[in-house]
Amino acid sequence: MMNGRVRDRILTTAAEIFHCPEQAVAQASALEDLPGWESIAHLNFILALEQEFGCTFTDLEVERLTSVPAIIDVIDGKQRG
Amino acid sequence: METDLKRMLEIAVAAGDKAAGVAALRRVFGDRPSLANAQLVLKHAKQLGGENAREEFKVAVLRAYTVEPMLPLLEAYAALAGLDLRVQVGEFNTYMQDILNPDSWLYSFLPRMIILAVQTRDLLPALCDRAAELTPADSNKLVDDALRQLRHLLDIVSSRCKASVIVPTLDIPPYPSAGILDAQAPWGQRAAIDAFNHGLREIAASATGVYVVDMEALAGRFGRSRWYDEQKWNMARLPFAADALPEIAREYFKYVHVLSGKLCKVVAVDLDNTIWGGIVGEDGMDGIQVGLDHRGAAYLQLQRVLLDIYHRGILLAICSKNNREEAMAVLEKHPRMLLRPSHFAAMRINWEDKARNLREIAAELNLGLDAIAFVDDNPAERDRVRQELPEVQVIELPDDPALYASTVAQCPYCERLSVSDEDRDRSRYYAQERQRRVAQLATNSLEDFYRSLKMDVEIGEATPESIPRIAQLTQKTNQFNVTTRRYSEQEITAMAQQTASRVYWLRSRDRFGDNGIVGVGIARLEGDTCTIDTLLLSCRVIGRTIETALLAEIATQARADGARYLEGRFVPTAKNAPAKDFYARHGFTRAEKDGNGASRWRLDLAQSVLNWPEWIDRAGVLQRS
Repeated sequence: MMNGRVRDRILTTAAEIFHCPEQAVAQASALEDLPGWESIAHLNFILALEQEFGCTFTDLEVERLTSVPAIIDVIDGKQRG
Repeated sequence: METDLKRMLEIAVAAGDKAAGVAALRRVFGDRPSLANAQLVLKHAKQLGGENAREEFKVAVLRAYTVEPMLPLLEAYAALAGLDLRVQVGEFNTYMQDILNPDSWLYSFLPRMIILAVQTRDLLPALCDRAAELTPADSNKLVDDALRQLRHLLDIVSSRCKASVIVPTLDIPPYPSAGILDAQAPWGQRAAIDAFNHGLREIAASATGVYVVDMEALAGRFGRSRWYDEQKWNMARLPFAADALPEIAREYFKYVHVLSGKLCKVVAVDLDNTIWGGIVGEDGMDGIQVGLDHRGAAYLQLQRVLLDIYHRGILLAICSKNNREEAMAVLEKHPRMLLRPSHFAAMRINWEDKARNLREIAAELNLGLDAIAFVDDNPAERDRVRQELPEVQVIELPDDPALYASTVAQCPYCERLSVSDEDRDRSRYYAQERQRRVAQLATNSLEDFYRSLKMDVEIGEATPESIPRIAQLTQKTNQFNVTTRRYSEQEITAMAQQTASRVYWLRSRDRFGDNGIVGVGIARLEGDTCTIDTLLLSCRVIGRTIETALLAEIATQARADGARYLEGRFVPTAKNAPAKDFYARHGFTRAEKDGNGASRWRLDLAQSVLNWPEWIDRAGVLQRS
């Protein structure tokens, strides 16, 4: 349940930042594969996630933010603290 | 809440309801100005603003750090204010080359505003890297050199383009090199940065078109420990934390807003539960809350902010549903009130519809509806005004009265980048104007009325002291303005220096007081024709033949300069109908009319005389500066 909400928020955020439908984000195995992906957009996406979830990622966490399941994992880990 | 608003937005977009769509976007982004919501705004802004083309505003960013994540936020703020922001960003750390190279992209881009995105580590690197090794003399020299170089760069920018430059104050490191000793050390990082920021304010005060953005204060307001993010700096050369970005964008947007000329000229306020707590009609004067006690303090604080706005030269008005006598009793007699009847240029205290009252206030003050900001605690009234009068800027107050004051204080619409003596005295002028209207009723003929005013007018050519006011009048005057050309201080300065053109200011006085500089004329001589580029009069003094005096003076000078013909153009706008017949009334003949309704008018100076109105005395003799 909690995972589902986190997932939805990630999909909405990614869809806005990469200018694509949420479905496309859900289906992409890696964010890099999205047509709207480039390095500045990825930076914007990391910042948008921090704004959405009210957190700051460490270097190690940032490196893992490459796909939706991995992001859920990182955010879950942070929220469990 | 946010999902509800987004659903409202989708419904509005699907139905093609632009007003509802923009309102929903404004709420979504206003509640949470995040990067994702900025993209949402930008995605919809084009469709929703489609009918009236948005005004373009070009911003160049010269930078030493990553600014890209701030740009969608800045663009979203601008889009919601009806501006189409075009941003061009320089390469990393090439801001000096960008400025020094005359062929740089910076100058061909023709920006209205330049953001210099630099920090302490860029302008005072040694102070960051090896502060502990510096002697007091070293640190003084560092600061002096940095200021000298900055002044040089800014001089070059202003000699090559007309953009306004926004320069940041430098911030102290969160943890200074000398630790707690830095606080008292006359040679510490804090002292050096204070000295730099002081010098920067001096530069801005003496240069035209250079403005300071107080990044140090912004960091302090937000909380310095949350402001920076070392991880982002190391990873992407972005110094700021994700949550700091909206704050920075909002601060820069205030400069965009003022420079774009979208200025509020009157703030219309509600009374009950807005500038005092409670309802005077029910609670009585003794029962309302305003003052130092904990519930009344919030309302007093809002009054303080409104008073600050009043002293910037923005008028205050009342638009409130009350019994007039009860409300006036509070305004006149309540011991804790800061705002008194004399602070208000217009009052509508009645039970009529507020949209109608705002229309009347605009008419009474000779202002457009788009010059009004509306402050009301009641969301239903705000909605009503927003729907009925979309031009009015409705300030969205939060539910908690403790936040009213800071909400109004942050409103970009009420910002100014300069405050002239005329601004400070404006409300007094309006009070005098009410007396003048009474005088007009008491006299019979119009000429008797003109005589009874005992006017005198002084006309001179632009001087460094008058140029800010001249530029301000070209930017703000909408009604009596034949061409409505907007000029910056730098542009006015340039025209005043050309031998072929003359820039005139007009000052008027009458028996009710000194109106200050209220008129501008710009004329250019080419061959045997003197062309009037600009002729405008503040709406305070319309309808008293002062425009005739200005035209007569321009004609006299044109003749002395050897001109045979005096030419003028009238370019119609939504607001300048009062100036429509200006040239025809003064004997000009229409030379041609172009497709946009603009017309060209011509007067043969050899065959006609333009007389100075006999009821206006002349003060001062025109001298070429």
